[in-house]
Amino acid sequence: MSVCQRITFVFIIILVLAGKLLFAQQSVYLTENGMVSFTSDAPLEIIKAQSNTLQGAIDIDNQTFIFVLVNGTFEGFNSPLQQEHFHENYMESNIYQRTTFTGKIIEPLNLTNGKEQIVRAKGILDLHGVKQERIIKAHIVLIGNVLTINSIFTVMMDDHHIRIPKVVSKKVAPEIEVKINATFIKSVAK
Amino acid sequence: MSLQWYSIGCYRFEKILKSRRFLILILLYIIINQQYTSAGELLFRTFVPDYNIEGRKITSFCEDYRGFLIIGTQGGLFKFDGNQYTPLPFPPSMTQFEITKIYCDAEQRWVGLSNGSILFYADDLSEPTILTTGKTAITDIEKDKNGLVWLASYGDGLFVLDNHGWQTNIAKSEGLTDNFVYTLQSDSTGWVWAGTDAGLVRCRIDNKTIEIQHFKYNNLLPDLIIHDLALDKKNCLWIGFNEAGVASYAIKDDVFKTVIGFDAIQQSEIWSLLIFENELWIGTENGKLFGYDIDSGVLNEYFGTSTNSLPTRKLNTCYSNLGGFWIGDQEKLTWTLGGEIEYFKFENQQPIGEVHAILADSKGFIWYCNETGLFRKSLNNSNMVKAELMFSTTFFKNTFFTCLYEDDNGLIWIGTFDKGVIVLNPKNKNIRVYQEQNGLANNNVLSIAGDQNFIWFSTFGGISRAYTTSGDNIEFEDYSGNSKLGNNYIFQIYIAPDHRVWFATDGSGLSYFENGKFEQLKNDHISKKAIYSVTEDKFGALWLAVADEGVFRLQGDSLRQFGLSDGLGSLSVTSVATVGNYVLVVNNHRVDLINTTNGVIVQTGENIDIHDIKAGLNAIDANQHTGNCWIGTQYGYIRFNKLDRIAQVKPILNLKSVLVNLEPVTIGQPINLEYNQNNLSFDFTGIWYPRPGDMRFKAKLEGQDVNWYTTRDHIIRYSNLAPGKYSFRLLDAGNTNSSVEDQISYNFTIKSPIWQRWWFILAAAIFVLGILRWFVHSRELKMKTEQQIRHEKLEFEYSNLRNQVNPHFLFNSFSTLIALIESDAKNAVSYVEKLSDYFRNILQFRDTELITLSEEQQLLETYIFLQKKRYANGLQLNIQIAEEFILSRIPPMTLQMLAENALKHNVASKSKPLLINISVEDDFIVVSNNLQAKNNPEVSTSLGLKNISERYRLFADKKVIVENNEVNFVVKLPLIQQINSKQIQILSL
Repeated sequence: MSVCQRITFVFIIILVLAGKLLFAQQSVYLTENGMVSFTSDAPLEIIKAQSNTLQGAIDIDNQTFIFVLVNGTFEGFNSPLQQEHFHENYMESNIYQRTTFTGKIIEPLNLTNGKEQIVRAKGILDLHGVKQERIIKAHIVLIGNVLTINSIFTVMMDDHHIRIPKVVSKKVAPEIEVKINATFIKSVAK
Repeated sequence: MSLQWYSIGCYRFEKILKSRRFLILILLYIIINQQYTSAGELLFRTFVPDYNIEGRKITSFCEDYRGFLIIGTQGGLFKFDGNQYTPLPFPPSMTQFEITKIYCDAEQRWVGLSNGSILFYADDLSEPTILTTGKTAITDIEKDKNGLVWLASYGDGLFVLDNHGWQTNIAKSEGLTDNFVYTLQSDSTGWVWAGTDAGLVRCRIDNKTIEIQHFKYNNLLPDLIIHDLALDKKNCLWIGFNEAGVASYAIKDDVFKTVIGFDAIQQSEIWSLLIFENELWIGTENGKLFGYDIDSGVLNEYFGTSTNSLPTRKLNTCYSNLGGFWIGDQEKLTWTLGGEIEYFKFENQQPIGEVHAILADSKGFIWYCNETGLFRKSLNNSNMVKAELMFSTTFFKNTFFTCLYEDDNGLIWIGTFDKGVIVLNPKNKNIRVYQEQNGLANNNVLSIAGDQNFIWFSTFGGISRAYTTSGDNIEFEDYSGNSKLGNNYIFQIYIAPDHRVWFATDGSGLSYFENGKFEQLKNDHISKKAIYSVTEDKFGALWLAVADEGVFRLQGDSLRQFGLSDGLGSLSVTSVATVGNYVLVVNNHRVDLINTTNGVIVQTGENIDIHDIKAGLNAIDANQHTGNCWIGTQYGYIRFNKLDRIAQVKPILNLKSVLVNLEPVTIGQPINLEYNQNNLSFDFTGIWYPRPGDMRFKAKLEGQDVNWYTTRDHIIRYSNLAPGKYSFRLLDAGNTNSSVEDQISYNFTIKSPIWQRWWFILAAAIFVLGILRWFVHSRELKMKTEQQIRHEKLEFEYSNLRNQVNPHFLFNSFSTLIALIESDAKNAVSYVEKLSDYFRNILQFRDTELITLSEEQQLLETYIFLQKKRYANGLQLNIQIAEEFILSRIPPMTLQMLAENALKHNVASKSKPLLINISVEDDFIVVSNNLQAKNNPEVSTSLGLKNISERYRLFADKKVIVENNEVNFVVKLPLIQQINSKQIQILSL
């Protein structure tokens, strides 16, 4: 992760949670190396890729969150050519550099140590420059100071205006399964 | 082929076959053994706006009070009447925003946008006024009991408006659970309920004080995200969740109850709820449509057909003023009456051939039989449940089943051909068979009906009646051959609500059984007819299906026939049955509904794809207790449920515009038009969503038309209307019983042209009289003037004559002459010559009105010559008239008279000579003399000068100016240059 990206990320976090960071910093959990993977399960080809640079912040008191992912960090494709196509033809990573998901948690969080809770995160998924309101289910568990989040959801290519050419329609699925696995650490009080 | 089998040993049956009226036996298809059914198809009509709204997606819709569907898209608002999409004015500054909510009340339309703005439309033509609330989308608009308008926003909480423009925001800071609000619902106690991302909230504003209550998990709310709310008639709130189905909340009991679980609706996210009659309609995010009967608790899923599909995603709903409601998504809109008429089709779409009989039993099963056998199928959870084959036709060595009946004990009675009656106990599937040897009149059964422990059978051998107290001891009574029955071939036994048993006979009209006796209905018109079916409506009228003659309605002695011209689909009616206000009329192709209150026929065919139904004589089961009627078809079965609503559904007529001489006029008030504003055109629409293309109107222009004119057009023009009072009236041609409220009338008056109105005629008469009077008057005046002129002339002539014979003049002249003769004889001769000239001139000019100035000058000079002999140098005449004036005109002897006057009034002596100057100055002939009055002047009559003035006035219309300045006496005579027409006229008199 470049210094520039790190600064941008911190800046966004500060913007979103400025007041809360100052007065109620206890409740904010951060991650910078969350795992995001996706699977396109098409009849002729299965494409998988992964990124370990998901950045995120969760404010437990206010039940708000933000996730930021730099699209260029996906790796583990079947071939370098595939990776190139992914960035150039579908994600257009040069134009739309980041994917974000910001919003609030519907269910009241009740994080007793070691007890897993299923919550719905409702927010705006900004992917490929198209904003979609999503309600995404996630498993959340707090062990000590570490908050772990797991989630599986799908993204419809069409919803985000990602067009699949007919020639490759059997190689790229219209519905992409996305997995999130991130561990958050309580932000250090000053 | 196999038909022969049935006719063996049964000559009566052969006879019926030959009569060709018997419809049961036409068997067509080889049948599959198992049928699936789905839930019903609705009576509905789908509209796909397509390019009509400029390729945009529908984001919101609402029907207004005039029946127009208002459709919102991104940056556009449209009005739909079933045929046409008309764009409404939309502010250019708002085109990049989506319309997220439309709300219509009786006064205006409220349109909420994705940027938080509200547009108010008072009418269709003017630009809306804009109100700004927050910055996020308006998701709902609702009026509470006190008339306050509540706006829900997606991010800014609630906004409340009152009539006076007071606006307040209720957001998280005011105590709202969440600023994301999906839906609002007001109740009868003044609360407004809001569904949010964080549970249910209710708010109330009393005297500008806000009261807020929350409902969350601790109130046993099953989910926090609430997408829609609905309130039923019993003040029970229905709550649609994101992932917990539907819950109800009885407001008075304060209890939440999950009614429809998440799994029951296939884990769909609720998108919209709508209460229609006693059914809760549920539209889901993934496009499923469910109907939940609030009373019975039965949940059905509804589907479209291949040709008429339902909307598929994020289903929204809204009420329709026509009596139904709308379901829609981004692509299309469906108008429906709900579950009043439903078609439950076999899932594989394969026709099963003619259905001979159908029965909906009291246990929730539907029984039907065709050539293959007898089937039973559960109505509950009808999806994917196979129909159960109870008996195949081969079970009893190739018989088939003709009729079905369920008795009070729940036993199913099955009529067969050739095998008598089978009684089936559905519980244990035990059967008993009753045949001729058990007392049944014949083994071929046509119809079974039962009432109060009696079961009636119509067989080829006549009527039998069984008494079913209990157990197996069934006793049959044989009524065959009863003379009052007319004949033994009874197509249908019908038990009326008053327990009278009716028999529809083949060729002998109707008979009935009452108080232990058979009677034949006495009516000459029907007593010889073959009647297939009979039913009694709620007014006590009988409806008869008569072979090849359509349907007859008989009440007392009054008989009315319904045929093709009344709208019946066919004259070959197989059965009739009463449901609610309607009589169902079944023929081979479709089902017609006759409204028993007004006789209007409603065709059901197109709307739910009812066609080619091939229903047998007994393929109809009208249950008097449930109000349902089932009809079996070769594609499935149709349920007619009470039919209360369809009776109320009627088109809404709207007068869109009135053009007078192609100019639009405001509609509403009666108008007065001028005589030439007599070309009117009326543009109207009939909103009839079930079949918009079939809307027919009856129009009449009272004052012009004698008869009603029936048309499908939406414009009627009248040209060159005569003056008078008119009333344009429009009504729905399909409704023969339309009330005044259903009609449109528009009054106008064409005024008579102005020249035909009484006051104009009066004024004109007065004017003409005035003209006449003026003419007479002016003529009189003219005659008077003429008379005056004549008089003047006479007077002048007289005065001149008098002058001419003035004795003084003559005396003086003669004295002078005597003196001359003595002194100068030569001069005397010339004197006499002059005197003679003078008199000759007088005589010559006497009758002439105007002479030239030179002639007058000559006359004057002659006169002066004569006088000079007397006065010598005491009289001096000086005439200075330029050449150019000598031809101008002057009345004769004017100058001579002026000179004579001067001599008459002034001293003329050597010491005081009288100087007479005549010259032309400024268009005047100026005659002046020095003033030296005589000591004893001659008596003046002033006649001369007056005479001159008058003559100038009359002949030249000019004024003579007389100046007397004590030194000179000056008379200015206007020059008369030429003779004008007036003068000629006068001269010629």
